[in-house]
Amino acid sequence: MSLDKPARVQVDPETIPQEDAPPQTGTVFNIWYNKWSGGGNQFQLVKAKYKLNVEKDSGYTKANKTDGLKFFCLFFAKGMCTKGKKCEYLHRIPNEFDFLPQTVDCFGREKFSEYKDDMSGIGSFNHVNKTLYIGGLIIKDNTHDLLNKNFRKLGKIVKINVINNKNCGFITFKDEINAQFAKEAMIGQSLYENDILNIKWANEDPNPAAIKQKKRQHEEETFQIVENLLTKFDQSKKIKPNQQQEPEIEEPKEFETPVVEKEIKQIEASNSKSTILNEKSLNYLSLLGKVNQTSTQKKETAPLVSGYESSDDDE
Amino acid sequence: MSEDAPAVCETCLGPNPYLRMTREKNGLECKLCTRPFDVYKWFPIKNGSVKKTIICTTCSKQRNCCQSCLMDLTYGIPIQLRDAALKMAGVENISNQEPQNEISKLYVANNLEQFPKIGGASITSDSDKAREILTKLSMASKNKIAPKSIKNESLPSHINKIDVTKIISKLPLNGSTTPPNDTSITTIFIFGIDDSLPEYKITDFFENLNLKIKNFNCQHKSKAGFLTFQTRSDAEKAMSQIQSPQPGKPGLLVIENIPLRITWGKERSLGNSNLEKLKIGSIISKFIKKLSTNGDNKSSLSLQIENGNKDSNKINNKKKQKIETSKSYKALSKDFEL
Repeated sequence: MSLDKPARVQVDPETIPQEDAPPQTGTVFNIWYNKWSGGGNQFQLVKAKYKLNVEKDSGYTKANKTDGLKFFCLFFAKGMCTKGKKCEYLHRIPNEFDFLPQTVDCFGREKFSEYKDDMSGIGSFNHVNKTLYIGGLIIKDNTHDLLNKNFRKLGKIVKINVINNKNCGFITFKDEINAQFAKEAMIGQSLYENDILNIKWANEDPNPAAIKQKKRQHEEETFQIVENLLTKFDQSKKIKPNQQQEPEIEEPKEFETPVVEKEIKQIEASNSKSTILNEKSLNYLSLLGKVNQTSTQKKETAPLVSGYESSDDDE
Repeated sequence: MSEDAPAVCETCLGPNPYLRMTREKNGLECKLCTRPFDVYKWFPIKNGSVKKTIICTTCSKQRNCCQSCLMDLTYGIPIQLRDAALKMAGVENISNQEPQNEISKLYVANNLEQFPKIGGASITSDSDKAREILTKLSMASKNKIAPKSIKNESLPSHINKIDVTKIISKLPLNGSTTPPNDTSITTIFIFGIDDSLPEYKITDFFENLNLKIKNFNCQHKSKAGFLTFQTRSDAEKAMSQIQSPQPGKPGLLVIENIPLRITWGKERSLGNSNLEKLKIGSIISKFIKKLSTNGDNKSSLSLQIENGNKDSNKINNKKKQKIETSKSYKALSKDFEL
């Protein structure tokens, strides 16, 4: 996506009515959440008034000129940012090169440790979820096409699955960041005239084939990251061999060794039980033994060095 | 460093060595154990956004992770990924069972010493040990990743009752790469789409050729999809990029080692219910297999042509083509029946 043009103002601020409260459903109006409280538990999705037009709306903003972490504009995603190029958040579609910490979503909102009970909201930092649940669909012949048309602009799609007899669907993105963006961009929108999309995070696919596939994918990703780590590690060791070792001496804590011993015992125990894993765990044991030796050696040297230093200072 | 300094990783702290932090006593509740803890806030970059710790020191020690970004302190990778990697390395004794309800979360956090470290924290907090395991894992990875095997997934038993011959008969399975006379057709039919092949890999292939895609109706369950281009010329360009190993038969495009077959075709239904789609998928995968075996015969034939005897082979070719064209749908429908 080219960003050679400034972001346009999506909504003229003067056209926004002062009182934008939803119809009264409770006794007290909470201005922070723009919701009524105190009434019954009737949650109603409101049809969105505005919609993001990816080609026309995206452009550069103030955020493109600053350093550091940059987040995407939530109002841009909903198609209602009144600031245009003066906005301090990004006005574009996230791509695979955007990196964000896993504790926040792409709009900079903090995630939680678990999902809400109804799987709505910002999501969890303990799970990587790339799949959205689309509820409130009206199934027609071209539902799949319309979903594809609307969501393809918001990120790279891995799979769209429409479940005809349940009026819902699932969309899997390549990157989680696009799923986060698409969730906010399409919530409350409609494909036809009288439907409102209700978008939530998807639960994990219980289909055994899907689980297998996910597991394999996950393994491949892990291997790749581990290999990247190793090369990084080797490079840093070659460059600064001495500086690397120093913190290692400082770091070990008192309760480390008992933990290691515990592990060895546990492995020995498991070893006697299972004969299949014999070779593996034996290898691991020998490795552990080596590690143990080196770590104890270091611990011996560390106080010695510091002892000399302190005595030198005293004299 | 004083004892109650936060455990935060280098990337979170930012480049400034003279960092100023503010501390708020019991400012927030820890996102993992829900106990109040001292919140630290700082600016990693001048005029940038503020960062703060979101979990307590106890929880971070238990998991050997950064208090702000929850990445592993030694490696800077997510802790779930770290635990998964260690599990694959054959470290069986990792207990990554996080307490589920609020009371047990509090209990575990309050009695830290009694519990072993959660997940792979006990390993990565010792950097030498972690390195050994990582090397081992990378060795294992070279042997372990097996080539993708195409397996026939078990289908539900009552699938035989479903009749999809009407839908199948409308699909252009026997189409070709030669453009049809009807110039309004800008759609190509792609079949053989494996479950593991993401949609974007196919669209990316065409978009990298500077072709504009209008719509892609991709049904992974049916193992097929209709890709519509914005203009006819784009569609023709796309088809010219696709090799056709057998003239008069669907073209072949290999993405990610998955052979896709491509023909021209109008958009049709690919099944309505889940079972219909699954059945169509199984039929299409059978058909793909058949095509590929035919293709092998053909390629061996083309080798013969290179060796000489051109004239006789040409005749052979013509004969073969005639046979192929005379093969009507009826002959194939027998193979479709499961």
